Amino acid sequence: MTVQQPEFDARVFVKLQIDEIAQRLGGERAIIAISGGVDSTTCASLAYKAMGKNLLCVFIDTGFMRLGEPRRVKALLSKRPLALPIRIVGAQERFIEAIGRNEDAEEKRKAFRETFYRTLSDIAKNEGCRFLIQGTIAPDWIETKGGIKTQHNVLEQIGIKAQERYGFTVIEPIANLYKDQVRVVARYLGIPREISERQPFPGPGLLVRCVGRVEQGKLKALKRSTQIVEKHLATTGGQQFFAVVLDNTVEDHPAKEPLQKQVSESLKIRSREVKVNILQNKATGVRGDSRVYGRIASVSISKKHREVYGWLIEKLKELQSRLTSTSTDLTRILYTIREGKESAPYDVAIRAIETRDFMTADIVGIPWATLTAAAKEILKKCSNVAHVHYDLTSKPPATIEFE
Amino acid sequence: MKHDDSSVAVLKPMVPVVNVKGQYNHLIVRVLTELGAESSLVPLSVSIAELEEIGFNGLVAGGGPQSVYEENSRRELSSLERLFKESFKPLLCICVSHQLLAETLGGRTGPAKEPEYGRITVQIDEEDEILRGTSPSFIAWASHNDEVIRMPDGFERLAHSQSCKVEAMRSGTRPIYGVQFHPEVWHTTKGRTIFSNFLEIVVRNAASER
Repeated sequence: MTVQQPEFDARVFVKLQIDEIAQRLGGERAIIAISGGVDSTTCASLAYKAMGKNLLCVFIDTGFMRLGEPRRVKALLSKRPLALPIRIVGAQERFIEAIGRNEDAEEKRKAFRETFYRTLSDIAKNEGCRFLIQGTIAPDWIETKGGIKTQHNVLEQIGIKAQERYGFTVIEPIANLYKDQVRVVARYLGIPREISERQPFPGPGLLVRCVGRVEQGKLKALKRSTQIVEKHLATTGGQQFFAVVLDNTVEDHPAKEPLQKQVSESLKIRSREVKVNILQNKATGVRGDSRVYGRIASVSISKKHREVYGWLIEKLKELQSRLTSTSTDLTRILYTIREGKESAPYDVAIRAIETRDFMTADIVGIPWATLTAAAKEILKKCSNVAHVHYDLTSKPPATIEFE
Repeated sequence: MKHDDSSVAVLKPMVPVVNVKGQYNHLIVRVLTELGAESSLVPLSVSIAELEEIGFNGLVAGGGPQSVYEENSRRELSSLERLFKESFKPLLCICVSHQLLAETLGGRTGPAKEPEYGRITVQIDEEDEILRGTSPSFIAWASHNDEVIRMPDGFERLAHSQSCKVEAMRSGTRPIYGVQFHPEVWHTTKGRTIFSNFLEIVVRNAASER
């Protein structure tokens, strides 16, 4: 009994959404914030087809973009076939001020969201736009509603009344799609491959990869490391790969000793060749459908064994699941690739995952030679980085981003 | 990663998904729809009468953040308990719903000694219809703090893992199944086979009712 599976039909979806947008707006103007990612670009492209010049596309430069990103995105979107009229709005200072010295992941995300919508609201008022179109997709509202993390683009689903608070009505044409389906729509719309196949970049940008407090030198190290990781992992990194920056500050934690013992048993090496640290920074995770804001452990083994296990990805995955299932507040296990100057204030971690829909994720086994090459370059170019680690954690118990 | 090709069914079965508020509930709808069923999320408070009104042929209950031995959670899940007791349609219970199924019908759920988050290996004890084509074992993704400690009387264990005794079970008298892992997520390699098997059970059951 073989029956053909009904595929997701982009043609039907596109037609339906264009009609609906046109009907709901009835000649009114609307604003959309574009990041250059596949969600917002697909959404803008749909809206542009429905309403033409009545759509105002803005790119908000939050200061948490990658090096050269605003310029690159503008160039890509303004040229054909998209030809979207796009305006860059600089708001770096406003964002830095709002985030301030906050260390907590959720506080940072909420401050970001508020600043993001205030900025949009100001522009919308000036331009007489009563509607905001945005590219929220399914995992965004599922995670925000489930209390896992505050996505920057989710309002109505958690009871924030956008109309009262910001003066616009929100329209979300792709809110029921998953990433892979959005890509199907993007390809159908003829969006350039550079965007339709681009790896996701979180709404709050590098903010959620700058773990803990934001500092200037820390953000700089993150921007450089991001560029280096994107270059080295371009062909091996899976659906998403990136760098995060952490504080090189460790804590005295009761779990340290038992973890050390477990690593030594798991990898069958002597315990004096194993060093486990619990970092002071915390990272967002998910266990049994509940949010956990948990601990990050780094595992450093002697140079003699490090490379051997560095190639044995299955062993490292096993190690991660063993450690996270015994110590209940761990959400991240890092495997140290290389050390620089011990006294430097920051650490960098490299994360690479494979997934279809971003609801679950497995790590990708990056060749050890690639990891060490990336780590070497990071340590050379960022003198304020002490260690470079490889993140071993699947989702669950981690989330894809650190915060 | 290799995925199995699954095939389904002739008449378009209506299989709603009870939203138990877990992360993956919406993904269940997606898989069922891709396999040719008609599906949507229905609220946790849904009753048999309401389900009959929309003409359901089978039901899937998803995961959630609750602990079924806690009083507040039990109150929140009380309509679902009633469904488990009363429904004679095929029923697939996932994660927390699997644990609730055990509690409701006289078994027991408690905190897991070794909770599972992420990759596990499910070992098949008995394929039955629901796990047909998945022997001897497959990689699945799980995310749970609690587990079924004792199955209800008359239930049969279908699968286990290294740290969890009951990964899958079925009732001996009704077409009711529970799984601890998440067949709806992409990383569970035989997940689609399991849903496809379930839809076949649903279709056959619907045909026999006519």
